[in-house]
Amino acid sequence: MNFRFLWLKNKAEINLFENLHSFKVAEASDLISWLDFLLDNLFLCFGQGVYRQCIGVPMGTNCAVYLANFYLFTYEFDFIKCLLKSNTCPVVLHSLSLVRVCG
Amino acid sequence: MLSIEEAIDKGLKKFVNKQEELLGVQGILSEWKAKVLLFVQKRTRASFVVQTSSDSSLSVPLGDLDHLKILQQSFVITYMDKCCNNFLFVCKKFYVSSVFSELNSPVGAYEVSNLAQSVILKSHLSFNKAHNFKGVKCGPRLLFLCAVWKFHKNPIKPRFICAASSSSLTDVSKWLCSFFKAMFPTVNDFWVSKLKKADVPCDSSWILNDSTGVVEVIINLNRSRSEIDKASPLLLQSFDFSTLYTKIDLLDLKAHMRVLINIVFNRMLKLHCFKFLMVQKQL
Repeated sequence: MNFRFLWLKNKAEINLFENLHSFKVAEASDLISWLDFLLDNLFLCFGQGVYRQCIGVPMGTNCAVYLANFYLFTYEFDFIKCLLKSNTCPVVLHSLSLVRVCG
Repeated sequence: MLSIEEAIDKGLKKFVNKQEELLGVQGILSEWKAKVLLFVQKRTRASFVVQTSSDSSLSVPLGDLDHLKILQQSFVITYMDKCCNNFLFVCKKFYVSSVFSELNSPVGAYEVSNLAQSVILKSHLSFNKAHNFKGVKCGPRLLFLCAVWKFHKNPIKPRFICAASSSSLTDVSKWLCSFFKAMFPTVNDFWVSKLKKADVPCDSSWILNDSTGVVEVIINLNRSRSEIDKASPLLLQSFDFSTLYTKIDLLDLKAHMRVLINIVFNRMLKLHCFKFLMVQKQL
């Protein structure tokens, strides 16, 4: 199988694939619950002490880059929606469309 | 457990495949890869006795290991930020006091937990089991805070990294990363369609997968400029966050991610009747 991801209409379609151990299927509620658990359990240790990170995401965790990008995206997207609503957009948006960010 | 050579070979293969996929040309980097591997072989065979072992430590001649242990009694061995081939030997007391000052900083990013490590790990293991996530082979552990030093700053200062490799929730994070990557094209579509509504030409959102995407942006930018515009030089500016990851409000992040995930899935349901997302785990 040569794909990174695939959208499915129902779970039964999974049976068409082999080597399922390297794949995972989820719906929106699964992702939300996994993410909530991950963010509620940012425990770290140093020496004998146990601490919980209550602000920010650990830089070393795999999904941190996507979390940061998507988090900023949601704010930026809301901002663009406001611009469109107030019809202030063309000049500002032309400039913004040239801006790129990488994590 | 891979030997140094095998691990470098694996990393190179991944890099070469990615670059060749980007360039759309197969085999263009094979000669370069072979030369790098030959160079690595010469270096490793000259300086190390490399053996495969069941634990994660590198086997080095006993004498060297003894010397490292003596050094570790007084120093913490860490590396230089942005230059990780350079190791630093930091005074242990100074290292510990630096990390403690971060943990107790007035920003309040970390709070002391009353829970014991074993209790936390037990709850992580049962979560992993319930949701079919893999545990860690060599025994579960929590994240740990470590410090590297920024020698490119003046004055030199530490950078704190919460090391999440081989922790009890690493598998959860890896799978989430794969899912987010799969959601990215749909997120991109939102941006493009929103700007199209405003008659603004745009081919992707502002998020790039990596720095190689900058080249494509510059090409598009130059293409979009008229001949008259091209007569005057274009000022390219770049900006960076001094702190980003450590400033994100977790409650706000959760709320925003919940909204975004629901928007993505609802869009796929509405457009194509897709309800489930299937992803391949990233290596």
